Amino acid sequence: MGWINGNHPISRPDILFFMPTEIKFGFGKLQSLPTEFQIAPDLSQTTHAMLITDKGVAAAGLAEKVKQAFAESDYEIRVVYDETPAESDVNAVKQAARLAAEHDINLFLALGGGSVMDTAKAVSILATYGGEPGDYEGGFMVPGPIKPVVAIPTTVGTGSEVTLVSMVKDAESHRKLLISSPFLYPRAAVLDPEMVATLPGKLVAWTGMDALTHSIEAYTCTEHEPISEALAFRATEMIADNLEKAVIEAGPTEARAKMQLAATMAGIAFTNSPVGAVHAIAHAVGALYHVHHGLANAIALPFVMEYNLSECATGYAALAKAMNVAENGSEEALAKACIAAVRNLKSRTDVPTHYSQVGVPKTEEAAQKITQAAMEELCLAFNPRKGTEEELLELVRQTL
Amino acid sequence: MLKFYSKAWLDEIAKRLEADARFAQEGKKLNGTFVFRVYDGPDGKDRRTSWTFKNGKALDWKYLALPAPADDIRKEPYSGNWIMRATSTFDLMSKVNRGEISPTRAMSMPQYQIEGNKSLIMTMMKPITVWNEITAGIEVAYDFTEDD
Repeated sequence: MGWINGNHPISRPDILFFMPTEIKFGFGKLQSLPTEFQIAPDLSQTTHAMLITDKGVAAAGLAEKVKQAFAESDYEIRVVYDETPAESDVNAVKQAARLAAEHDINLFLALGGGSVMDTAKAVSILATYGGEPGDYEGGFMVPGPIKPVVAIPTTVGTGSEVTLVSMVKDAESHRKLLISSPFLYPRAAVLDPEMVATLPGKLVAWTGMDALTHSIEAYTCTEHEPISEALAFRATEMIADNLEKAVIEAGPTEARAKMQLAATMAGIAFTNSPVGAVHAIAHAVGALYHVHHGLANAIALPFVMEYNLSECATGYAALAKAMNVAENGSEEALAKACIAAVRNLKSRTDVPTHYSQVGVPKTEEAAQKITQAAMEELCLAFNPRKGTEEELLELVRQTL
Repeated sequence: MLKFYSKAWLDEIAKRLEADARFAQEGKKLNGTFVFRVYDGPDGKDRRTSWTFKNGKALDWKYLALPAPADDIRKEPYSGNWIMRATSTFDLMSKVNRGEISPTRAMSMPQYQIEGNKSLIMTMMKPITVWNEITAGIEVAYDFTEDD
């Protein structure tokens, strides 16, 4: 029997693993994109590009680098939309879709973090089929292929560059619309360490913890399967080995490059083996109190691992090895050591431990509101422990 | 009035699915067999229903009600030929049908189990949602005690 991952029974009656996104990694990869697009049969004619980004990414000079890379090519960046808010928003999507229609766009370049990439996917849906984001809410509501989206992540965590999901906030209802469809996988994900070279250490930490959450939840959810487990396990190991260094040291470093790869691997894992209660709580906290998604995940993660311990001690014990836990011992001891290692990594990267430290009121009312919103999250159905509402409420209280 | 999770209720659902224009459009992706087990009805029975669809057309719907706890229903092994099997209590299924609890919330509750390939189920979420909406539109009685 395997020393680390064991030899468990196959956990699902049948398995569907899907990953259509082409992953392009390399230092300076951005420069070769126009040539690579030209020789791709499906991209050679989609030359009317729209660059979707946000103010921070543009101010860091990254949008200009993309424009320069495409300047002497057949591809014309006809319009730049840099108004994407920190949390992807219905109004931003509609505004960008109008611009796309005005400029006859047939290729979307999404330069940014999760919000930008989710915005670009939703904009492409509207540019292809019209309507409003709410028309496509839910699973598999997008009728067919969308205009190609090329994702260029500038953070090390979201995974949106390889997922079938677009999360768009509806300010009126204080809800996040989840649009999930196999047509939303980006055509390509471009991982160029130059694009994360100037990312502030704080955001490296938050988005890196987001990636760790993806890998741990994918490894232990009710739908886990060996292909995603392999990706999640290796991603966990790479994050444990590189996150702290990537936080401390800016530049196109090897540590940041490995974090990019780990985040993408964790993204592939969780798009096939879904996330659970950490994300249910984080989505609720994000929608209600505007806490950064990666930070919201990072705070909930160790509490949810303790909550799930009775159901996934075996998984956590295996992940302890990936988290550099040196000691051996009982399965339960190793699983607890894994949770301690997650807390230790958070501490070393200055990630807050409780929601009350980031503006969420430490009140019973807040706990109730978060719990009620989390109960409506589909990802909760994939959490390894199915708890009662009171048990989830108690868990949320601990996180505040 | 029709009783929730009775044979007559199933027949009414089938009739409405057949006649519903939206389901005719959206239901085309609905294929395969879906099994539902509903325990502890108000008349002291467990129930098992199954639906088989081909391109959105209901080919077959079966109904079984036995005194609870019914081993034939509760201990029936899962078949790989099914798309999914949902298992819950009559009380929780009633709340979902009345709109008191969303299907999403129900799925995360300990009293609700789903077996099958959830990825495959997700691909059919749109027609399943329409199916649920048509079902919820049927007026039914939940507090019956006599046999059906």
